Amino acid sequence: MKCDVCDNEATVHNLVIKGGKPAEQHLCERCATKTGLNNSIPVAPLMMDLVKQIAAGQAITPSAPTEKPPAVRGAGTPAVAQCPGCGLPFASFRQHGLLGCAICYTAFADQLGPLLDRAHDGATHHTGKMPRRILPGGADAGTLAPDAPGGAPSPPKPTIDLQDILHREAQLRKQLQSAIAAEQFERAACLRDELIKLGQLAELAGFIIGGKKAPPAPEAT
Amino acid sequence: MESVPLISQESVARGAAWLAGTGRDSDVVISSRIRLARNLAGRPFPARSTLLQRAQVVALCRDHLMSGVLDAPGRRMVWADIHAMSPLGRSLLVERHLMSKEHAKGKTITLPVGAPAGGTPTGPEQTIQEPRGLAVTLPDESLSIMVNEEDHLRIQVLLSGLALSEAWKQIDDADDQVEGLGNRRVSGGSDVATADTPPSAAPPAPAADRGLIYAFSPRFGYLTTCPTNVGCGVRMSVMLHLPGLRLTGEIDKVKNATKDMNLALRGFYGEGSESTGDLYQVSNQGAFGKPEREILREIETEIVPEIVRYERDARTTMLERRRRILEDQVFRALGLLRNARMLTPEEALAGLSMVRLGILCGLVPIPEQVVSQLFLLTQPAHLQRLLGVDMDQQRRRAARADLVRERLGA
Repeated sequence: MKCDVCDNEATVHNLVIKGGKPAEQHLCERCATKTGLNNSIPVAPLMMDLVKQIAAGQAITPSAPTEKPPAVRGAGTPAVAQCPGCGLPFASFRQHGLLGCAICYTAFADQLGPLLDRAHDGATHHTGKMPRRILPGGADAGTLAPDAPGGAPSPPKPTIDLQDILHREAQLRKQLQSAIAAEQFERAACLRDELIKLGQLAELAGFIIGGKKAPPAPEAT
Repeated sequence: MESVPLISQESVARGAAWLAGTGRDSDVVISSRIRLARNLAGRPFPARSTLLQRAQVVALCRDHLMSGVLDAPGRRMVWADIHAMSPLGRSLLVERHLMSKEHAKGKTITLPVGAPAGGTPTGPEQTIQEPRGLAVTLPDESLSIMVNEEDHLRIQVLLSGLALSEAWKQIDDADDQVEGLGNRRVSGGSDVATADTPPSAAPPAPAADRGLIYAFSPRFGYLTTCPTNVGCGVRMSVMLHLPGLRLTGEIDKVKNATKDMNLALRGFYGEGSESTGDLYQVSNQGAFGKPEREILREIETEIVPEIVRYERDARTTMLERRRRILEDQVFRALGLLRNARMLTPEEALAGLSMVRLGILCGLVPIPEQVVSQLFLLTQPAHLQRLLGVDMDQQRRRAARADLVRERLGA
């Protein structure tokens, strides 16, 4: 299949909802990156769920917790749902109960969230000890930010406050739920994208590194 | 036998510090253990790693753990490549509760040798063990770290008696050191000294000693291979000796009560093992959305003291109302242990359990330590290391009976 914009082979397939109707987009890697679509995390599953539910005339509910994420490569051609980090197929996780890497948690977040809720008395977020290192904003996630030279207090660096992330994520999820309930699909898609960006920033590879030390968790000794 | 054993012959003969009978409520609580599951950021978890990736994790962890960050006055970290160790050496570490059975077993990978690309192998097959390791503090063995078990790191602190708070202090500190914070907490200092200490108070860690970066997500917590461990990645467990409750027939009540409280009750050697010797482990199941301190408080100040009280009541009941039955059980066990010429590990544990109860009820004048350490010394690998020879099952049974008779002064 050719890219909608240029003549290259389309490798990124996206489903957009305009005016309540689904429309497909097929782009090559380069054009997708230009339009900000080239996201290693499937954006479409939730929307596909919605479309399927609309098609089936069902009430709108968030994606089913244990269901395999539907295909993102265009309608009717299901792709294997697998972790973009380590290639673990979701089916393998369902069979063995073991994840392959930190990215699995982001890739399968929708399925894992409700699973954990059930297994841990409805808890939705981690509380307790946190690593003392956190990710400096904009830094290369693969490298460590150097400690302050000579032990002098370091100048303030752009850092991500873990509490802020938790707060922001909870906010976004709440808004997403109400958007879905109100059938505001375009808004839901935007919120979904924001959640993904937030997740990528802080969760994707589990990189928690850098200058500022996280505040001690109040409960942890 | 290892050419240079990790655990010295003297240490093996002495038993283990966690069986020393020190610490709170040690008449009922044998030991307290906390373990943390941690993974390194940006690397696939062990089960999804290639041999090369596993070897890299082993090298990375060994270099950091052995850099001195976990050493203290009178205590140093030693390392063992578990994949290069003999089966007996590994079993010894399992028996001493320094690592899991799964870590000892590992996976063996068969490599075809001398095979031309796509052709049939011409040479003999070669097998290699998955790279994995263990770091242990000596001589106390209280801190141990498995590398490449189910998670990249499994950090454990194991202490005698009811000592979860102390174990938490130690493991929290060790966890920070593994992360390479550099500003070591002074023993007995403030709980949160590490985070509160101004940067100028501690010299920066040398570049090579930066520490390991954990896989962590603000939402899910410490990321673990099995999602049941995600969150704090913590398991706190307490090993209890409950012979009184078995004799009064109330042990099932404890089993049901712990189940209701979402705690696991397991045998002497963890998941799936039988509660031989009336030894049980109570531990939390999962730690997501619940801070460590809360789990600790529940187990240490609510659940365990309650079970301890039940067990003591049961012992008192037996002494006051069913003394003849109690004495019969205790002295039969003592008679068996002092006279048998062959003993299975189960027979030994069951007998030792009754004799320990007799000692604690004031019926048998033997030091409690002698019996408690025999719980460990009668295990197969310990027995073989003590005598310095590999033995088959029959010989071990005879050697076990000889050792028990000798230690019980028969």
